[in-house]
Amino acid sequence: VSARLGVPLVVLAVAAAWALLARDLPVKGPEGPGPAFVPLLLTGVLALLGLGLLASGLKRGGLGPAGRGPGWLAAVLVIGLLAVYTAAVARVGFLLVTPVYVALAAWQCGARSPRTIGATAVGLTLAVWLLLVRLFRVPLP
Amino acid sequence: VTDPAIWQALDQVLTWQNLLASLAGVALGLVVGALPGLTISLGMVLVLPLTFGLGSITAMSLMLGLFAAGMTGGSYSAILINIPGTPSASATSIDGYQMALRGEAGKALGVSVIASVYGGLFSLFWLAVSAPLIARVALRFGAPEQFALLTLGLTLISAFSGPSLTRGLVSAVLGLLLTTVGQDPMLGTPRFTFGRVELQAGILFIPAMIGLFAIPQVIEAMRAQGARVIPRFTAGLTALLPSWRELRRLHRSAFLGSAVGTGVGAIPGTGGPIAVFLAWDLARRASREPEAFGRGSAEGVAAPEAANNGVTGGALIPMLTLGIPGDPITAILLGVLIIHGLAPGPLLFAHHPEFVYGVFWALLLANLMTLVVALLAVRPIVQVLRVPASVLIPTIAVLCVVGAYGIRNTFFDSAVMLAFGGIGYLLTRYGFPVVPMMIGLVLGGELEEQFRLSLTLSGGDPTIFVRQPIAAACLLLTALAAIGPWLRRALGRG
Repeated sequence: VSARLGVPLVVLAVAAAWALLARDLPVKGPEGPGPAFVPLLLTGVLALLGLGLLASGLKRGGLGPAGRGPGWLAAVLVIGLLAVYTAAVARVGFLLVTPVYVALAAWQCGARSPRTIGATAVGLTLAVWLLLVRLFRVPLP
Repeated sequence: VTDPAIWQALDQVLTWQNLLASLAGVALGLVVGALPGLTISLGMVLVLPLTFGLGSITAMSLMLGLFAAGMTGGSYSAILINIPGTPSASATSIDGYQMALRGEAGKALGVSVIASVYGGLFSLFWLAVSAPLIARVALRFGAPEQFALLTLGLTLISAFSGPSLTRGLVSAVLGLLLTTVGQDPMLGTPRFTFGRVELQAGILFIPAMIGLFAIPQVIEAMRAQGARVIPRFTAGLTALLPSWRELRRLHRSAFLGSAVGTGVGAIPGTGGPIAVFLAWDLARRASREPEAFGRGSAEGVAAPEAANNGVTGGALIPMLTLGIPGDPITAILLGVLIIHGLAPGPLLFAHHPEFVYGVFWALLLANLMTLVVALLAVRPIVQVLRVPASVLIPTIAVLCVVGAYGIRNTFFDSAVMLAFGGIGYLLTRYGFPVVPMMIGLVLGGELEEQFRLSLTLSGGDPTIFVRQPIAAACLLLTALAAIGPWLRRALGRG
């Protein structure tokens, strides 16, 4: 399915899923609207907007400025690596994991000299640690 | 001037912590502004978690320093290498770079810094004059008026943030939907928490902001493998103060730029990039030498630079008086207020006048510090342009993770930040603006509360929103903003 149809369908699916999640919440409260009222109202507006996107996509054969930005692979790689880094810091500790992550990220950014990568990894880790732990007293693991 | 709170606020601002915070903010702002690819919002969002441990005025001094100086810093790279450091410096490169090519880079930098500070002080004056008056009027607003105003603000932001209003609204509504996660604001019923204790308080907007703004930039930089090609500049690196005669000649352009910046900044959803081109064009029309514009005119540097700093005070008017952030930067500033338990809006002026005056003094301090630091530290700031992306991008990535963690000392917030990074990437990739979602996340709670309160007060009668003249006018403007583009297209076809 192309972005022309896919994007509006995803918007409609989000609206439907949110409305489904709200089904067990009361729409009316003791003196006014209940907890489900606003979420349901918003899913209705979102569904209408999704239909608008679908109509304009079908009519014009395109969705305007879609497709900007970097490719999927870069996004999955960056977010995936950061997710692994986050999990590793929680389990192993900031000072041990951060140099490894920084070295990988610096390489991903085009650095190739082992000396530059090593200096960046150690220097940055220590600088952030000093700033957050020593100055701002953030209890990093 | 007779209000003692004004002078109490000055005493509060002139402490060494605040002066240091302001100086740090100004230095950071100049660096972030000068670096192409890094935005002021990104700098502010990365610093935001650090403001938890600071007092409210110290935190504002830091952030306002970053805001004001960031606007000025954008001109360094615009003038020296023809790459605007921030979108708000785009118009400066038109004439600034031509001056640099002519060997007048130092003069262009000097004009840019002085015009920036002129614009900043001009907008601060109007902020200080108009904000208390607007707040006094807004104090009379009830729940329906507040709901209608917030709705109008969000619709304007959606309309101005991209070429398609529908896409802007989708982004805003998604942001509003996400604010319904957590305890219901009126009854305390848990909603969409999936049994997670961390979600009881809702989705914290700070990790969300970090993810939405920073992660797509990290993805873009890493995909390009750090190919941040900064051309070498050969221009002189000392800012030169223009002579008194030259300053007098530039006054008209700087004044026009300041007025445009302050006015445009006060309209939600507009901001620097619109103001600078408008100011450049107006200054060209008003100039005695319009033909020099585009060929290295100092007036062509002064007008946009005064405009982008004029935006700073202008943007604070709706944020402080009505609680409506017009752009990501004021949304972050609003976040600082909320973190410190201060609710922006007219009540802020009634209950915490010393804080409001403190913000005015802090903005004055930020502008004066920018003048000194930007003129004296041209050389070191320019050296920052040479920092490779392989150092910069990992720094941002690490600060995103640990900054989000530092909010409540839980990695759940880092995970939320990453999730919003994914959302920000998807929105950008498929042509949806990110800003309306961010503003939706900030305003959602208040919007729902005022909406439900209005309906509770009226016994469920929705006509309460049209019975009050101000609420009705705001909703009418909202409807016009929403159907305007469609109407224009229909009329155009006709």
